[in-house]
Amino acid sequence: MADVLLSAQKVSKRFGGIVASDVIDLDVEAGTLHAIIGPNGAGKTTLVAQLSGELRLDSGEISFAGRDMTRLAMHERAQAGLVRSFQITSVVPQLTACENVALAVQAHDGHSFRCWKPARSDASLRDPALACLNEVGLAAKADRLVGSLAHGEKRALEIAMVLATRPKMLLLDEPMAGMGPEDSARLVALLAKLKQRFTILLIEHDMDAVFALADRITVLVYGRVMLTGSPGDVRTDPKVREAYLGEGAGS
Amino acid sequence: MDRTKVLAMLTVLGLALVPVAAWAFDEPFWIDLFARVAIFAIAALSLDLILGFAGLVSFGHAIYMGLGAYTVGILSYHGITAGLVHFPAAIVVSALAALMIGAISLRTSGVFFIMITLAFGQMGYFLAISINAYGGDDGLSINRQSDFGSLLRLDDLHVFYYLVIVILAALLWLGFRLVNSRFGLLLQAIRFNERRMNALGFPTFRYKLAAFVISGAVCGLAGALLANLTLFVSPSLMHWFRSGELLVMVIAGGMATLVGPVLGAIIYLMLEHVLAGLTVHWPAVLGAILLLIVLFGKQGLAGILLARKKVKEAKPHG
Ligand SMILES: Nc1ncnc2c1ncn2[C@@H]1O[C@H](COP(=O)(O)OP(=O)(O)OP(=O)(O)O)[C@@H](O)[C@H]1O
Ligand SMILES: [Mg+2]
Repeated sequence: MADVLLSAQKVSKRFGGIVASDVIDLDVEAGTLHAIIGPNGAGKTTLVAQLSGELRLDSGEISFAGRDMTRLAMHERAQAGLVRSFQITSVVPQLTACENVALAVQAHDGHSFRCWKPARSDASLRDPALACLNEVGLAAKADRLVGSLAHGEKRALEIAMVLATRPKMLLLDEPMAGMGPEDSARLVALLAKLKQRFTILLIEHDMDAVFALADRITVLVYGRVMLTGSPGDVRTDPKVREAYLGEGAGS
Repeated sequence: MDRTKVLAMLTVLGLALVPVAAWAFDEPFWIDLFARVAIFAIAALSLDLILGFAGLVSFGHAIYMGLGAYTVGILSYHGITAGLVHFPAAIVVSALAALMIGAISLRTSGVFFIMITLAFGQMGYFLAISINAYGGDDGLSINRQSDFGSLLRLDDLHVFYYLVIVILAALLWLGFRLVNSRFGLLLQAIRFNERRMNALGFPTFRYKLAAFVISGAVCGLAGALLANLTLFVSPSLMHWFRSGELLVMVIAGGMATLVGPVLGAIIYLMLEHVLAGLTVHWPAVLGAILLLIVLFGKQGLAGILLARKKVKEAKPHG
């Protein structure tokens, strides 16, 4: 068995009366693409927020690459290589696509107190930024203000920004949210490429995409893990079919 | 060169010509008025770094001006007259105050941040009132200007005036470098989407604090200059009304443009001067005029003067 890169143990979170995460155990093996599926409100985004450090745990522990992360802040976990994307696009619309990605490069290379050299013409930022934009198919839009990009392009930018931080592991929260079928297909192809290089935790509603990409799948319902297994296990599990996939789905 | 920088150069050039105009029109008082304008321009510029670029609405910025001025006043009171002590001390004192105030207030945001910075400003004001050794409520007179030897005689108003203009020009230049650097772009990104910058791995608090300290230090320098101009410091320098004036200068002049706050300081203090001579209701008239400026251009005065810039920005550049 491969090493476990990210491990969550007995992670819980309550919002008032709602138990968004109910004693969740999750192990993601290095080099795999692990998908989390579940109906709306199952607690998938909440789990990502806890893993990435944006939300404190009510209880439980999180370790990453052999390090206890439970008490680390979001930026510290990102610097350790655990970097998330957002279900609701979170970029800087007032800057260009290239500037957005260059900031992510800057976050990784750690010289952000430099206040003399112009950043926009700095090749050590711009070149890797353009490479990441190219990887997600946005190279032609590098110098466009992000506010003027189409929805699918902003979703691609989300991923480019994560890649530019040179992460060890990607936490992707519904990267295909709101995309048309063409953009989705392109993104599936991109994720298939990225899974060769990165460990990925993928939250996704699109079942075809999940079954095409995932090595392992965890089904989350009402904040609880219903099942973790191979795509085959999940596809054939009667409880899952009933609770989430619905009759006849998953083919 | 971009239009904002051209406007900045023209503005500095205009200020540099004031003594010539004062001589030509036989209005020596103009030099005094515009020295004050340029000093407030420096203070407003410092506020623009955190207000315009980092989006931090500091409602207590006058405290740094007051601390800078009081540092000069108190050192002089104790017989220390060297300019090479006055100015570095004023900058260090206000930077340390900004470090302390920022470390606390930057843990909040929005209205809480405004209230906390306001509270710290008022603390400075009441502290100055309560220390009777340095004049308390009455303020403190300064015997003479900071001493830089015969090389730089600040008691000569012309020399002093051009020193202020050179400092303003240098700060504008440094400011343009800074806001386009890695640090500057990050500040702007934090303003628009701090959460994402955090998620990318930036300890955003640290960067905001650094900007806050730089801003406070520069404002302290403005205070030290002001003490040299007026040879008098008083608690009113730190009153919240002063902080409000600085905010108005930045907002009416044009946030996040650097040159805007300089224009804002010019307009504000000139209008105040002119209107105060015309009517006792000058604050109301001044308020109405500033409101019009803000309503007409979202980016204040600089936005109106650089109106064509918007069209250019919409096009891709690279
Ligand atoms: N900040 C919050 N405060 C209160 N309740 C919250 C908060 N965030 C999430 N919740 C609640 O927690 C539950 C889980 O929400 P979450 O966003 O994690 O679901 P999700 O699985 O990501 O759903 P979706 O598929 O719609 O993205 C929901 O009932 C939601 O209303
Ligand atoms: Mg979600």
